[in-house]
Amino acid sequence: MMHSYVRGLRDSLIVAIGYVPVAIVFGMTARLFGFSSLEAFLTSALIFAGMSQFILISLVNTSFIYAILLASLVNLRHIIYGCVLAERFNIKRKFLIAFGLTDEVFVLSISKDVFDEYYSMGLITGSYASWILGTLAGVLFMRAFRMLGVFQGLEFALVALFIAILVLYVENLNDLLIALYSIIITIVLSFLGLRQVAPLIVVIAVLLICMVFERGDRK
Amino acid sequence: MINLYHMIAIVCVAVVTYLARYLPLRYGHKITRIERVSHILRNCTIAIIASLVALSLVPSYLSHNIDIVVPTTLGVIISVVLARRLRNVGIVAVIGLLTYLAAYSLLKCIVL
Repeated sequence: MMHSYVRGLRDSLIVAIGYVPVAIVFGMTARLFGFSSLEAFLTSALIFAGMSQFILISLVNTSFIYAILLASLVNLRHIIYGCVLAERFNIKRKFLIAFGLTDEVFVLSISKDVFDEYYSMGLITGSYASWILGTLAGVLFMRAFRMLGVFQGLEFALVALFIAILVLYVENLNDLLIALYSIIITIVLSFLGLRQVAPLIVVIAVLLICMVFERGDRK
Repeated sequence: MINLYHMIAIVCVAVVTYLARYLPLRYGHKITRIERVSHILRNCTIAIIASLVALSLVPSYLSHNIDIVVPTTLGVIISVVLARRLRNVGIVAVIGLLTYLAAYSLLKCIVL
């Protein structure tokens, strides 16, 4: 039991290497977008889902409902993780495992033939701790930047982060086409003055395209 | 210290995120056609991220300000190349930011 937990904690170092820089960027950008240090900390502590946290902080000041909607929408992919785990394994402490079921924890958990709850909890503990500590480090870095008088251009961290996530998601021609369609539609909508609702319209457009292609495939 | 709107938004997203993780763990074995749902959700995620990338870049390019356009372009190129090679979003974000800041500072020095 303890051995499994420690093994999970040890394996979480791999996850932490990826998490800490992202969390630092999150802490910095949260402060940049007007979140207090406590709010930045609470965002990481309560949500614990990188991409939606970034979407939330970048949109919440312009459109409250819309920010919640989009930030929640990107997290719906977690439904799949839960379905896959529920189908393959009999998990007892679902309420605990659910909190830390991030992309990385899911991948490492299903890489085992048997689902070891203590191993997963070790993984979650390490990942969560690194995410929280990284966020706090980012908040402190931002204070240092402010003391040095550096403000201009810091928001580019968010752009670079979104680009990196997009590049990692694009694995085949289909993904690339969806990304390009989305970018083109967003640019057109921006010029039409519909900047704020662009991502939502893009999602609807992509869903329609998927439906059309699926019907075509059935015929 | 705490903005009420921020807190409500944080709690709402936290609840939705937790439910999106917990409910399928509890009832997921009843959901069939996982692959199809997975495919659609994946496409939606790509669409949202791509849209956010475009949204964050459009103002820079519309500014027609060389001090912003050049560092942005360099930052984007470096971020794309590094993301493909390193596959670590955090490090890419940090290096992308440093590239942007370095190019911006350099251009400011040249202009001055």
